[in-house]
Amino acid sequence: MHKFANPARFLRISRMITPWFFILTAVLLVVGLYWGLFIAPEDYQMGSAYRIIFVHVPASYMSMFCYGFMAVASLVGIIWKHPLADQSARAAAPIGAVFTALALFTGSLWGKPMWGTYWIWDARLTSELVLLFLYFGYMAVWEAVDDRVKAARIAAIVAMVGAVNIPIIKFSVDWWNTLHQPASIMKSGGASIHPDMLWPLLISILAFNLYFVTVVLWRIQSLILRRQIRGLQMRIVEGRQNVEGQNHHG
Amino acid sequence: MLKDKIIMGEYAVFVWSCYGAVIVLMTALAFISWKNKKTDEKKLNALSKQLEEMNKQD
Repeated sequence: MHKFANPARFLRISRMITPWFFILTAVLLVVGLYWGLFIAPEDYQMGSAYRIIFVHVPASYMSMFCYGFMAVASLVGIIWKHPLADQSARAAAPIGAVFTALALFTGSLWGKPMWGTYWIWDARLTSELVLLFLYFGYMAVWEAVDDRVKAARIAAIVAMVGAVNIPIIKFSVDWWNTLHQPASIMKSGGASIHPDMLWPLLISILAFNLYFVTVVLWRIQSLILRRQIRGLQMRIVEGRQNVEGQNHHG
Repeated sequence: MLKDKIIMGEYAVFVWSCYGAVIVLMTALAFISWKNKKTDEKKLNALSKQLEEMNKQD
């Protein structure tokens, strides 16, 4: 694991695998979304409105997964002080924020025809909105603090403390009386959804997972490259100063 | 048949807006991330060459 966490080796391996992840993501996204939109049967109660679940459920699941990933990466960064762990958490934050925004947007568009309102201060919806603010806060720390080491530490604390919100989101439908329906896939006793609807949903979830892997690898590569760029820029500036110093003495 | 699937009764505006937002946002984020990586790679290569030339001159 530590060998793979070497930035140079990470760059080499991730450059090899990302094109394959990208192709697989694109294929599965097209299959999952097309299946959900055009092939899956209509729901007998909700008609075609239920087709929103094929994007809403994967986005909601990924919004929590990304934050969990950030919290674990931050913990690794704090314990082993490995820069790649902090970079991984930082790279995942915008992806998680986009998934959370999509979960809220698609959820409100589901709410209007089903519940009669775009928004309600329900425990699930509110905790998901808090998650979006946690992502914004995490990203704001990286932008606001100039010292990279200090920024990594503060951001890691934000990520780890904010992780408390993940079980709150997950179990909010069980702990409180909410308008949001309870879990229908990841629950004890198996999924309570017809296989004709379950398969396209699982393919969409897998596609969203692969999308995360692809984009997070690109973003980590970019952060490593920027670190190397800063290093080279400093060496060039030092080199120029040395030359100027020699000319001055000469 | 396909027309019915596209119109989706009264729900078309909700369903298509959701799929549209997902496709636009996810494509935009992926493209920006990939483009930034490509730009950084070019910048690093240019700086490496610059440093090499400086070392040769020394």
